[in-house]
Amino acid sequence: MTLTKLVVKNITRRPGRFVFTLLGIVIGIASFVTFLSLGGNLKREIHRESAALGANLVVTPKGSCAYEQVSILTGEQLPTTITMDEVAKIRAVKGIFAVPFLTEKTAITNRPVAVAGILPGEMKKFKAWEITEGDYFSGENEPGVVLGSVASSQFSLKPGSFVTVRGERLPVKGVLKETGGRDDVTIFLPLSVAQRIYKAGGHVSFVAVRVSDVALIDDTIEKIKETVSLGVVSDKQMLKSVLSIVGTVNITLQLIAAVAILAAAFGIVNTMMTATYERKREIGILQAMGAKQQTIFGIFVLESGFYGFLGGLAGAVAGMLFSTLASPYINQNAFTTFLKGSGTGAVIDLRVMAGSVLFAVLVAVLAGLYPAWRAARLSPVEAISYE
Amino acid sequence: MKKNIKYALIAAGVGIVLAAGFLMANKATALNVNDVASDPAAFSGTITITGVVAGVSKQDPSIIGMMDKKELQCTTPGCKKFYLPFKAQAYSPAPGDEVRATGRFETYAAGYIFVADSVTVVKNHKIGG
Repeated sequence: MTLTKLVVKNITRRPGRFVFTLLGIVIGIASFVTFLSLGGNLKREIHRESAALGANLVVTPKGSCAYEQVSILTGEQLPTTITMDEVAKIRAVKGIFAVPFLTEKTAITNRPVAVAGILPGEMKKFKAWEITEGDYFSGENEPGVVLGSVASSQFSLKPGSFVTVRGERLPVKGVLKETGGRDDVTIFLPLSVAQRIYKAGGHVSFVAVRVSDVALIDDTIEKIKETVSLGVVSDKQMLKSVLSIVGTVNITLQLIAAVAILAAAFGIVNTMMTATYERKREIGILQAMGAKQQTIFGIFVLESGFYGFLGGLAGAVAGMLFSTLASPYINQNAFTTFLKGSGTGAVIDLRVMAGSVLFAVLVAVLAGLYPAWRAARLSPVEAISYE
Repeated sequence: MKKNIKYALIAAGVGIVLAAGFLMANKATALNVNDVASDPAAFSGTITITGVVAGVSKQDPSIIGMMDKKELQCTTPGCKKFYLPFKAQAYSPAPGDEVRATGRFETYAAGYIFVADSVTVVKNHKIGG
């Protein structure tokens, strides 16, 4: 009998114990992979949304906190305190392309939808949008909406349909080509129309700024700050502060998963200790046949590692499946709203899967060291005389 | 023993289905205050809103102000919070109460007010000292 066969035979000798020990590792690793995968997707989405915004700088109301910066990326509504006069002053700064946004919300069939008031002509250039169905706005004050591709399919709205925003019926002009970002789930209105409907009275939520020479970002920040009394944040600063919030959440989630894995590790210790006591006679026979202490130690460590390998593999697959299924439903807070975009949700990350299996094997091997040591240090006489 | 394995697998399967069902049920019902703040007229029928009680109106103590849960994180002076006015018969408001209120929007002279038929207190966040 080969060593592998012996290991497999030993751990499957008690099927009930094998299944329950394995379930412990599977649950621990599955939760670890789920949290890791969701966290990874969240970071990817944040980077994607930041790139999709297409701005080097964002001008926000003074005193905006990191949580409001998250809202810029998630498309949530923001306080509308920046005046059009301030927007004009920002736009007058040389070497920049600045576009204002008014971010609000409405609902279609009781489902919330993001609404953005924009300057149609400039925004089309800024974002390099393309139209897949219908037309784009023909004027800056045209009452009508242009939809993101996902919003169009989600609510079965096509050019010619109507959308009611704050009690005003607006025709759907066209549908944008999929961007892969928040724009896909947004309803766009000309800024003046949005300001009138939402009673924003010549105010906007934030201004996205693209700098013609990226080497001059710091100078541009200073120039804008001198011109208007507003907050200016670079895309890198915004990413840093948003990612730091997400990082804190990720660490908390991973710590919870670590507790589950630790509990599973103790399950392995328990199983292997029981196996050591049960198989004293077998150990004795092996010793009598000439098996060295290292061989016995190796058998027990291998058994433990095998638990880790099987549990890690099953847990990684279960975790990936669960995160894929769960990601569209996790939309109750600012950190996970990114997952509501048109992206596919969870992405199967082979590195995370391979890393998780290795981690499970490592934890299982560590958990098996003490029982293996106990088994290896049994004296042949003590082992063989065990009844 | 084989029976035990079968039972364990069935229990695991039922657990996964229940967990998925719970997640989906949650998604279908609860809206955040910021979801409804801009356009309450767009919501019809009975809906459930989750938020944090910020205080009670001085003019009309039966009107309670509820803010979005996210506002708890925003502590800088620049944060402009929206308070959703809501009424609830059988609920004694306490600032910091995280509530799930089920009801509908009704039009009053002052605008839209959310009239809750039932309010569940999830926990208290101890705001304002």
